[in-house]
Amino acid sequence: MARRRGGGRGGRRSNAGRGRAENRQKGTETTQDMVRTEGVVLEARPNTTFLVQLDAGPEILAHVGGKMRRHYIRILPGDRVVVEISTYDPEKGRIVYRK
Amino acid sequence: MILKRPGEIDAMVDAARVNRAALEAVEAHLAPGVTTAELNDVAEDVILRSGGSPAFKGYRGFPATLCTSLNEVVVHGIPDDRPLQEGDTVSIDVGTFYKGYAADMAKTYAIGAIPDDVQRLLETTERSLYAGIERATPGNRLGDVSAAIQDVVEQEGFWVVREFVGHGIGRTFHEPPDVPNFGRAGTGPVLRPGLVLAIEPMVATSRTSVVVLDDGWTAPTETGVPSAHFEHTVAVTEDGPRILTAKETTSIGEGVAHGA
Repeated sequence: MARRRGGGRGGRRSNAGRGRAENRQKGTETTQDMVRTEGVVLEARPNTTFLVQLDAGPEILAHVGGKMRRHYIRILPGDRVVVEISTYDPEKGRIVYRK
Repeated sequence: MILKRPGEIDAMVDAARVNRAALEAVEAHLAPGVTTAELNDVAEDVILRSGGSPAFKGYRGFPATLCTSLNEVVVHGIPDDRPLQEGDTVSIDVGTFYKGYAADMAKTYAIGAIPDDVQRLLETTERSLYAGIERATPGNRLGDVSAAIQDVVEQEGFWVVREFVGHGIGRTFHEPPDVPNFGRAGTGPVLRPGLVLAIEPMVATSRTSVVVLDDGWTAPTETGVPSAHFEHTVAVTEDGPRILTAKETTSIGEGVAHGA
């Protein structure tokens, strides 16, 4: 039986962070001029950016939010993620939560 | 990484022998019309009667003794009532705990006639396993094993699955280090006598990611292309690699010529 990469310790360690992200998600958006939507990670790009296919259709380039980095939440192609997008540049986003 | 004493490796050979007997029993039952659930019962019966216990059953909630992965499913297929059909390929992966030690082994079988490219996929995957095993000698690095596997696969134009990897094995089923089937020679930890690895190349016919279905286990290629999976439990010894799950348990027993 093969071992799944990105599972195991890294995943478990991140649970505290995930819980907090969940609570945040229930509240209203924290920053104005930000749109929160969901998508699927297509591809890992250099410098911990990711190509994310939004459910609404477009593909955008997204980086991993600072809070997620602090909790070592790993993102792999195929993961469903919540992305915050600035209304000023709809091509780029920030991954704030991994489902 | 946990190194095993020679006595412990002998104990792992005993576990591997039970494990192999289970796989061979399954092999003897492979035929069109047989369901994977029936194969699961065959394997479980052999393991229990030998005094071992199925290592997969209950592992992180896996419900069965075997992983039966059909066609585009790379690994971790759950046995069910679907009968095998002519033209299917099925990867049979089985793990056993016996007297405190684990063994892990897999092979992909063709049911009846299969297309030439799929046949070549099976042969290449098995060949890459042995190429990796050959590099599992003391003083080499883990990356040497990974790179050897990747080389064989990519020379044939096939794709090494990245999402799943082999693993260390011993008193627990999965232990460090991870054994990727891709990597650079000369990198990674140095292999030392007593290290036991489950080396298991997983290969698809073309570039694809691998997804996990909602059952939490079944892992097909995203594009639906066929895949293959071969695995041995291998000990690094002073005398070189020792394939614990091989028919002859002295050094490299089972050659590439063995086929599927």
